[in-house]
Amino acid sequence: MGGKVIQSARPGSKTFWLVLLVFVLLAILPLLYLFFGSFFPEGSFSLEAWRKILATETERVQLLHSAILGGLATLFALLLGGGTAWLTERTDLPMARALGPMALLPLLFPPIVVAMSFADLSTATGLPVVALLLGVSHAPFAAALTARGLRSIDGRLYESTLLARGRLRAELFLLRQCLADILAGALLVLVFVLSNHGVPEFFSVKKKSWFVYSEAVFLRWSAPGKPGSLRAAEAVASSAPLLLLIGLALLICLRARRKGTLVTVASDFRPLPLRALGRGKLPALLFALILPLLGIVMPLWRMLLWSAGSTANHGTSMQTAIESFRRVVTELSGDLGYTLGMAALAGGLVVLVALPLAWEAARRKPWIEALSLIPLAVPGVLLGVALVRLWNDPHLPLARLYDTPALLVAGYGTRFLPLGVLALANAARRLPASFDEAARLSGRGPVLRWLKIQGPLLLPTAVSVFILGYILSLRELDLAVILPPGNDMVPRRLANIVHFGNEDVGGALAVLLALGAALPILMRILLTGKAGRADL
Amino acid sequence: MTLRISELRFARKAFELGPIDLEAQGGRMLVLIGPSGGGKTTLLRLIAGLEAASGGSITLGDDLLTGPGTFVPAAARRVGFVFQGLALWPHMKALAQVRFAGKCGKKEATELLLRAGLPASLHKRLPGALSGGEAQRLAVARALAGHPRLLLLDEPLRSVDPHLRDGLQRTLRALAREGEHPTLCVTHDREEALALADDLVVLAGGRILERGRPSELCREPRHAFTARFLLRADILPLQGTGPKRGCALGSFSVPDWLQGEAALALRPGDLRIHQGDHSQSQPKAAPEAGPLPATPLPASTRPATPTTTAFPTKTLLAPVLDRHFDERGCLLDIEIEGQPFSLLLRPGEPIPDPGMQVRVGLDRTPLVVQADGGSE
Amino acid sequence: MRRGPLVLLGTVTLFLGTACSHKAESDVVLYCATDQHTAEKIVRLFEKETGIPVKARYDTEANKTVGLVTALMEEAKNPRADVFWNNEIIHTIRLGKAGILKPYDWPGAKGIEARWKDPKGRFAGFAARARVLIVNTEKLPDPKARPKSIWDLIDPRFKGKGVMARPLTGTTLTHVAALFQTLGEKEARRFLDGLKKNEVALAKSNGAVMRMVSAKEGPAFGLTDTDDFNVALRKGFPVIAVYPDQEGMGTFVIPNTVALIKGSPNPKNGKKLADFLCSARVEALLARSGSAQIPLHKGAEVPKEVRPLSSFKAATWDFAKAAEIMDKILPELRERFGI
Repeated sequence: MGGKVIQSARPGSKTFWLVLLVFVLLAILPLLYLFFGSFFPEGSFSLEAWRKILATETERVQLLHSAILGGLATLFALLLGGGTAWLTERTDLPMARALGPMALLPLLFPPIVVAMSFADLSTATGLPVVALLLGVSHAPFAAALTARGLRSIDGRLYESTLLARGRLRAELFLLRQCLADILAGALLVLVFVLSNHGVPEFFSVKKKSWFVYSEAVFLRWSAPGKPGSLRAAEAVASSAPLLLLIGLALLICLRARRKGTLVTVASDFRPLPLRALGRGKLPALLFALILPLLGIVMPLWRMLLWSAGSTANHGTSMQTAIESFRRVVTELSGDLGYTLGMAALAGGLVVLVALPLAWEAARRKPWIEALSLIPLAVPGVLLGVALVRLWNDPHLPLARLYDTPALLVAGYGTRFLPLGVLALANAARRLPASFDEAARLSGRGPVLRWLKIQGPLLLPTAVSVFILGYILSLRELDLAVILPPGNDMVPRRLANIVHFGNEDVGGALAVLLALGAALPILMRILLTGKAGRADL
Repeated sequence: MTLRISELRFARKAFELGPIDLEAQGGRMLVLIGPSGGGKTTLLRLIAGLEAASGGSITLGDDLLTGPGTFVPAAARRVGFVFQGLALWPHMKALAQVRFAGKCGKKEATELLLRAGLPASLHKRLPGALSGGEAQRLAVARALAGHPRLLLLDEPLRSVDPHLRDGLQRTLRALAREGEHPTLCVTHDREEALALADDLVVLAGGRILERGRPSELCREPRHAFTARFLLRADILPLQGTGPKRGCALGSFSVPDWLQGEAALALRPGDLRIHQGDHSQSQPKAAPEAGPLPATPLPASTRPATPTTTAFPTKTLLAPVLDRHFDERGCLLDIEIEGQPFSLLLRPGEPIPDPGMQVRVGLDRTPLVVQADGGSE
Repeated sequence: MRRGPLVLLGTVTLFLGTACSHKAESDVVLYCATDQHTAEKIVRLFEKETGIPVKARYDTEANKTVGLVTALMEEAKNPRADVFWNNEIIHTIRLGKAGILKPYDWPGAKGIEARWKDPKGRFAGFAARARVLIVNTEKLPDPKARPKSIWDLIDPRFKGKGVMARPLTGTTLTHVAALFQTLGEKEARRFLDGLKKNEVALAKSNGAVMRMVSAKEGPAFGLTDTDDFNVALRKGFPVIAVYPDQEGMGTFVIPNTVALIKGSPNPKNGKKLADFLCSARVEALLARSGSAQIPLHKGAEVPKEVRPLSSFKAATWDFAKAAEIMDKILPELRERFGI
């Protein structure tokens, strides 16, 4: 043992602090700087920009719309996603093993594609429709997190409540036990719904309008002022109400987090007993099919029809479809490859940065989860502008990377980091500290401990986080437009192609993009036989 | 190899541990007993280097592990630790766990597993595929891998079925005596403590209450907690402050060493039912039978201090609350001064029904102990 | 750095890897807000003819041209683009006012009338789109009963039959600002008030106007751009374009604009590309493309499907003043059309 070795009792925090510093410098500070700057329009202190927040009736109504739409869409997502998860995890639903993972598939298509497909089929419009479609598009978050919550409850706890208080109380107990997970899912749905302006706008073309606040924010950026101008300051300040809404939701989630000990992987654990559905089997099966039908079958079907020329007046033909796909493959395969590559790098970056942050969040610093949520809570355009200002500053070395994919990967990585931090922190919380301690006592170094102990145990969650970061990067449009290397990203091109009336090529591209998004899920199923939805 | 702990302190939020002074000899098993939350696990973690002490020192052999300005990291202490709940890595097979922990080859790991009593057919299994006892043996083997200079066991038999405990206890005793390393085990289970311990330390409220050989502590516990814990005694407070103090059962001399409040520690066999009138009984001077272990007790290392006292005692009427059986016979729950007490019926005695009143009195010299609240 | 040096190593490798993997250094950087499909062909032609590689960055019309204009504003301190090709004019004027554009004498656009160019030389207009009424001939079969003026949108005869894009962004916003500039506030507001009264549907874009009019149900006619109209035509829908107000103020025409960025990294090549873009050849290519843009060069050859500027009465409006007016009326328009 030799002489005296003096060391801090808390080793391993240096990596964390370094990563946190980089995250704060590259993502949080630029945003804070933007907000700070909004108090100094035209170079001097003024609250003018902030005074104009919600100053008009229109914006107030839009914010109200946002809140109502956010709430209703979240409710739909919880009902459909959470309901499907409950059926597949808790009951003897036929095909539960297949239907569970299928509840994740709506993530494969961007919400606007789901919306356009729906509009192809129905003239229904208005708030409930927008809420339903946004709910369907984001229900996978609710499904995955509800499934995770249900899997982490010890069946004996449920059974003891069942014996003591009856069925209803037992189910209520279950609900309370996985409330934190359900609310975490709801929070994610809410964040994504509140920042979406494309779908509400798409459906407001017909009579009843439901414009939302995110559109007001977006409109402010559509006539941007020079950096430092009052107009630019107003654009920044205008996102504050959305942040406030999300902050409120986050507060509720954090309060609901279970105080008791979590089920750890080493615990003596019994899964929840399955309930027999009896006569309810058929209705339950139909219910569980809603999400895959609306979220994947409908858009896939409509996009295939688009590729076959359904939007033109000539009718559809197989030849048109083949030609559409041929054009995409010959003209856009390079962009498609670039897009999938960028998304994969972004997913990887999310995992790498989230790991040390999540580890500390789980062990000692739960505030990191709230901090990491900021880049997702602000409108995409705001994050994009913040990144442009930082990475294009000629005095900083980052400017050399401005025009490279590194900026895009960093942008996506930052935006979707909270999903990684939330999921991995939850997974890390389930690893007893004694796992690492046992390895430390063996005299093993930190690298080997990560490789042999924590790494393999967090791997399923890390893979899920990677897949989520990858898929969400394929749906992100705002950053792809603002950040220069986003130019060749397919979602941006898809929006353009459809806008300029090339729906046949657009349909084929949307289908191929969805297939590309499904690649890692398919690979995972092939390799492990599991979709890993409860690993989030 | 000797482990020496001196003036060790630890504080976190409302919890305080120490000052602790302790010495554990190589080749012997020192068992720390006490209630949950008493600081047992924290003490083990401080020794292992998993927590940093706020004062005091820990020395193993000639090496200072923890002391002013010194903190040897856990990884460098060469300490084997069997965690409460075992902390077996769920994704690693039994043999791989031992190899990873001990940085050793397959042969050595296999031998260790066999020594810990895990048959070769189970070496390729994941922890989830092992029974409680098998997992326990794996945890012990893993802790012994890498030739630790100290072995720490935290509630080692907690997840083991009762009928498998004997075998494991034998293994643990053998392993503790085999090497030169001291073994520290913490538990809140008296059977386990008595079965494993060469030396016993009672820890409660973050402090050591008393220590000694198991036989001494069972024969002459000084503290109400020890009597309750080891002898299943019920405690009846004694009133007054002088050398003679009284209660419903009479008046008793208090030993010189006892400072502060005193109490009677009443083992189930100390009380008996008196038939007939209210006259005082003449109890026997020494116990005939009791809950003490049947094994011959080793020579005491404690100074001989009288804890028993001669008496004439009173009898009193006590309502029967309940009755039940265990390996000692039929036990009555009776009420004295508003508290439940256990009374062991003698063979052949009629068994009163709950709700009846019985006249009870002492049958043998009771133990006078320090009431709860003090420490060593 | 005790835990996870691998994490750091991975992150650094990732960044270096992506940094090194970026596409080859380009010799001219183009920010292009026009339809990528059309623009790419022209860019490729430039590359082929000059051997100068172009790094082109395109906008997303669906995002209302937010991206590139915002980026140009934000990049002003350290400009990345050499040339900005905008599919409209107002944002270009705005960038000029913000001091982001570099004056130039535009030799390539000599054949284009001065009224399409910035007096200070900060941009040149070329290849225009007209703001036309797209009319579904099946929904309005009688040629005499078809609308002829934008005022027909608020004519009770067409109550509930018209559609236009919300005038909050794009060419529709420009169009409304131009109305304020040419007609005066009172008349322009009468038009806006009339839209609501006459139950004119509000679409999210000109493309949506085209789709709604082309569909079997819904509005019978709407105000849109010629390029969107051409999409409907190409797709075989029963639609015609009416160039409105031929007996009044004329049809509004909105040109593409090209501008050089001040302090840009490749100014020489930037000029070459800018000259090329506003040339008669490119105008001819744009006229023949799917978007059927109207050439502004005098005497330019015009394909059959495009109506030359000389064949209809174009409204005369002052771009710079309209841009100023737009900034003033935007809050009002948001209040009117935001919900």
